[in-house]
Amino acid sequence: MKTWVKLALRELINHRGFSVFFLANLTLGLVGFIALDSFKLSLHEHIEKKSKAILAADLAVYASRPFTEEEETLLAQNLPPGTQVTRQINFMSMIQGPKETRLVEIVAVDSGYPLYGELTLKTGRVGAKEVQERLLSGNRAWVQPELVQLLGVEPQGQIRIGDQDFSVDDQLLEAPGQNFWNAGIAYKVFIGYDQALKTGLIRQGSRRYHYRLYKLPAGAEATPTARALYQALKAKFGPSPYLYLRTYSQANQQMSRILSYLNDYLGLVALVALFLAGMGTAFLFRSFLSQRLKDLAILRALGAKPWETVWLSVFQIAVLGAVAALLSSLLAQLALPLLVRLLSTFLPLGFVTLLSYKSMALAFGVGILGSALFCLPLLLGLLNLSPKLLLQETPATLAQEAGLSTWASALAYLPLGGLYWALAVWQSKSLFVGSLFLGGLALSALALSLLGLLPLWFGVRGLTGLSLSLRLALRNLGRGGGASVTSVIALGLGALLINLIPQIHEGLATEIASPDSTKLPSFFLFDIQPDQVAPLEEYVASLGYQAQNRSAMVLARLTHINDRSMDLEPEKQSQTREEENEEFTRRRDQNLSYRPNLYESEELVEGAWFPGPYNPAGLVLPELSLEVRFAERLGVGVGDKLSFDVQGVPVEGRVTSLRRVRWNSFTPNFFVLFQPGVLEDAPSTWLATVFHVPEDQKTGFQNQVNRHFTNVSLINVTGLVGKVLEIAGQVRWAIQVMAFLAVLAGLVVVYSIASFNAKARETEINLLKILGASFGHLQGMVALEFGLVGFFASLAGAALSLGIAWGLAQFLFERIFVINLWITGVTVGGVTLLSLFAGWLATRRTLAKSPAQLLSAL
Amino acid sequence: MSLELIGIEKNYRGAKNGPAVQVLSNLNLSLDQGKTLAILGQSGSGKSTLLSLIAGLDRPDRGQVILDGQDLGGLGEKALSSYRASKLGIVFQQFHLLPHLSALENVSLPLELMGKPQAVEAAREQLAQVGLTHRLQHFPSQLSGGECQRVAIARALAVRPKLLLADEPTGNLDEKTGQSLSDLFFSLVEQQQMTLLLVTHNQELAKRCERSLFLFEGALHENLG
Amino acid sequence: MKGLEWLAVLLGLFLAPPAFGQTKVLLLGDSLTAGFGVDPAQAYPVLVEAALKAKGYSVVFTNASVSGSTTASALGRLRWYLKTKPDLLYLALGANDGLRGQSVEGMKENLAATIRLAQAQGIKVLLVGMKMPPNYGAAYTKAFGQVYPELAKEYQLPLLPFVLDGVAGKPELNQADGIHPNGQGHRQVAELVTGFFISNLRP
Repeated sequence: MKTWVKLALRELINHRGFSVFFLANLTLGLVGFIALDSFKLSLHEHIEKKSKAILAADLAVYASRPFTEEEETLLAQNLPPGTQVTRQINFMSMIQGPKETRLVEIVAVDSGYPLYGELTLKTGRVGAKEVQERLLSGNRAWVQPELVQLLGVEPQGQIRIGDQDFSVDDQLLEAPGQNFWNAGIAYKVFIGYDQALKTGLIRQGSRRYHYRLYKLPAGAEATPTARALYQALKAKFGPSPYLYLRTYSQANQQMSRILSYLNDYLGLVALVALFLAGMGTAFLFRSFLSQRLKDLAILRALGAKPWETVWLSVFQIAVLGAVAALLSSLLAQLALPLLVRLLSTFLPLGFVTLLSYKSMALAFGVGILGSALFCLPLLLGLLNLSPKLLLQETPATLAQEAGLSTWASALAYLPLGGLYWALAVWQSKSLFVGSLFLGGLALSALALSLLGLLPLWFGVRGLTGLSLSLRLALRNLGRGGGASVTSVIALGLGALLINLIPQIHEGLATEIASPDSTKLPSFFLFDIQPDQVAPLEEYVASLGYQAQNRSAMVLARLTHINDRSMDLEPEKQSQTREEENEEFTRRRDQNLSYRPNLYESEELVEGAWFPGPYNPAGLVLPELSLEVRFAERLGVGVGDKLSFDVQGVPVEGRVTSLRRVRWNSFTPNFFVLFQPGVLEDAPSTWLATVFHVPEDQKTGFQNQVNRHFTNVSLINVTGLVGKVLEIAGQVRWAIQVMAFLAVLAGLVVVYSIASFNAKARETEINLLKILGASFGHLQGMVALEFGLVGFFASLAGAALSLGIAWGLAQFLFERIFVINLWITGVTVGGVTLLSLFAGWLATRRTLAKSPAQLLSAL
Repeated sequence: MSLELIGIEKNYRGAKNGPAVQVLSNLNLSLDQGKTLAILGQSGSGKSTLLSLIAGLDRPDRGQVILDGQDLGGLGEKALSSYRASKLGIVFQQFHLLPHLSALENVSLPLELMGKPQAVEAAREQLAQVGLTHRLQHFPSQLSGGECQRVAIARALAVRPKLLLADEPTGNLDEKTGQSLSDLFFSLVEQQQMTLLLVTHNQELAKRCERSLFLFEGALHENLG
Repeated sequence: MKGLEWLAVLLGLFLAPPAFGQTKVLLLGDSLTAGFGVDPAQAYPVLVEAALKAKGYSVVFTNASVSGSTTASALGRLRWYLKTKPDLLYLALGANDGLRGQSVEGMKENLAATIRLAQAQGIKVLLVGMKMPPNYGAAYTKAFGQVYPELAKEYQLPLLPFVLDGVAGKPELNQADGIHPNGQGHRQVAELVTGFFISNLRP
């Protein structure tokens, strides 16, 4: 045993040049993987932290009444030690300023708030310390700026809340845990917790929410904690405790949708990184093994047993893999901060990079186990290796001399498939995504190998008349057999993986793009009565603006789907009553609308748009257009019949089209649209948007509209979506950076593969040189050979990646897919150039060397 | 074509920072057009170094390699390439055929490199001369050792080289095959009136040359048998 | 109203002509009366209608309540339903006006206009009162609470002073949002409302 270890190591050391070259390439590939994975982890942490600031806590428990002592004890018992807590009460109230009385939302916060994030006041950003010092030490209030004008209060002036006077201490621009959905109906006023209790507004019968906000200690996950807590509450107080739980991911639906995209996307990035690393490694090891073939034959000739040669190779693979993984882990420690510095101008504030130890461990796994398994057919083939190889004049190719039958090879690849499948499922945290990804990759490899075989069939023919370099290059490709197929697969898959992430990124980025602020409406107006629509439009016009996108909203109840009553359908088992209600309402109560045309933010995905107004004399049902995700939730599609109860009147329609809606367009969009000519006379309220109201005119505009149309409510859209847009912007940035890094890491791997290919050409180049081939000939040949392989392999890989990206988008990202041909071009060009560059580099080195080594030993 | 080596000296850097190893020292040689010369020597005596200097694959540290009055030292890399392609043929001990090319393609390759028209026809003819008409489309892996070496000889001769260098051409072959190959080799050399420089440690083979020299301690000595 | 007619003809389902002697009740309310968040069969109007029928009253309810609606929509909606020739208007609006802090005067005027239209059409009006929770502040809750008795007095209407009496503010009778009654809450509201109907209906 000791002899073998010694032999294995000595062999590696004696082939120093090769080992170093090999290690350098492998390390480079693995560094790319670790850096990518680490950056992914850092991004995820960063954005999660940001989104926690939206709820201002990991977990919130709330009730519409005070907590009982029993509940407090139970809560304390069921949260992990080290959990921080703060109390909060939210309620609506009419408060009085010098000029006017106004409905506001009072947010009474206590010591410790905010657990995450900061508040932005007019005078600067503040945290828990300032809350303690300023809000909790007297009757002081932080109010949203609009209120200052609406109430007519001076800075430091007085407002009356309940039967207490508060001084306006500062203006509140932004606060964690507050979505500004209510902004416009009720602006927010922050006061101290104890101060709120003294206003006399919190009494029996008061409508308010008591909150407990929790910040969990490091390492505790919010969702399982919430689940355990819910179970404990349920066990103690029965199935319907009057306490409600929220985790930060539930805090904002739009946000959680964006975050779940990000999660899946980053999972894919991790997969891509893993496969790039695995592929690069495996490819290199395969070449390594072919180079060692002769040495092994010698050993066999000297009497080594077949298995011993296999173990020797496995051991060498393990040693090289481990050294490369170690080196790359160390290098990643250096590379990551460098990368961060490089990106520092683009990085969001407070971005902290974390080194992913998981990815380092994976690098070891991929470096050693993955490669060994990838080489398994070859390793097993070594068992058939005969020393007669040594007696043959021309070194035979690996496939010829050592190898298994096609079927045995296919079987021997199964463990590799198993390993990568397991890794894929683990990295993507989804059985489905992992399997889908691996399946797509396997099919692509098959397609690429067919492409790689093409020159084998065509490469030989029709060569006369071509230039010598081209003929040489084509011959090499055509006759390269397994080697050129392998490099086509490797480069093609590389291009595929490189192109995949940017392709998916494009669709997602478009989906969550922060709309151009000039395209964002300033106000949402709702509750407009039908007879107010015209006067309101006129009035808004008289103020110099325009009311747009006015839409009728007709409340209806969905009663039947295809004549199957919704009442009879057994309720789905939901976790909480809240969810039940929500589910119920979502399925039953619908705001219907109608309009003659599609909005810019909509896109038909199936069926055809309404041909025109409904013809009541015809024999067909009115047409319906459903939002595609809503239709999926209901389980209906084009052709299905839906029946509604429109405030006492049954109305039926047939689904004729499905629409995809970009909800972030912030225009009035509806799940269900009726063909015009059906609902016009039904009782309705109307929505409208107003654009381009300058920031400093907004309060005035709001006041004026309110005075003339007291029942019409206005929502300040900018305030509402600001935070969501900010995070969406960061997510967008994050997926862009990851796409960029994936391209970079992919190119690194492609380079190491190409340079290895070039290295394998060294002997041949030497020979040609001796035969008198000129520098120009050789360069032309290498350029053509590597350029052709690079170009066609990457072209095919990129094309395949479009297919896979489309497939993944169908399942993961709700069919969001936008092709980015630009990045595809960059991928193809980049891989081709890198292949060329690697070929050029190797030729240059070889050309600089004396081919004398081909002559027999000195 | 005549070959003249004057005062050749070649050193190789030994192990790290170790002393340089002198391989050739003050080596002189003169070979006239149409003559055949064998250079004998033990392994490591510098035979291959000598060959690579003559082939223009390496440059001497001192001295001149003069071919037909042209000093190789004065030629650039490009000129050396074309010198090798047009005037030189080399036969290796390991054959060094390109594995992806058929026998015919291997032989036509140097002609193509020179841009000669009718390269394939010339190659076909050359292969016929070495008796491989029936093996034109075979790849090296499908040929026996003797056949491979015959392809290699055909390749070396295809360009009608002025100087033929042979490095242990039968070294990799069994005795019988070696025998018949050397018969073929020398008959072709004779027939084409080629200048031949043969490097070997095989006395039998050396005897078939008009003259043989012994490389020892970096210089050439008359072969005393 | 042309659209309504064809709709009625087409579907043949529009409010079948009443049998002789039935009292047609139109309920104009908000989410509370629409039964927001509970099964339609659990909503209090359904329970009240059944209870009245069980007690021998010949009534048929049309529930024209819309979640989130304010008094501003009352007049327009009543006009739409006049076609059904109701005998009785159960007017239960105002909660959303109050919750949004809208002007009490505007709300009173909206309700008054609706009552006047109903009375002009010979429809008897039952007025259903609402109260604001104390957190809205004493001044506002007081002004809001006075609207209903004032209207009842002015137009001589039967008044149910507070439809959520005994339900509001009790977590166990309300949904998670603390404002909409749950099934239990609706049952309690139904009892109260049934009594209110009985004292204002002839059997």
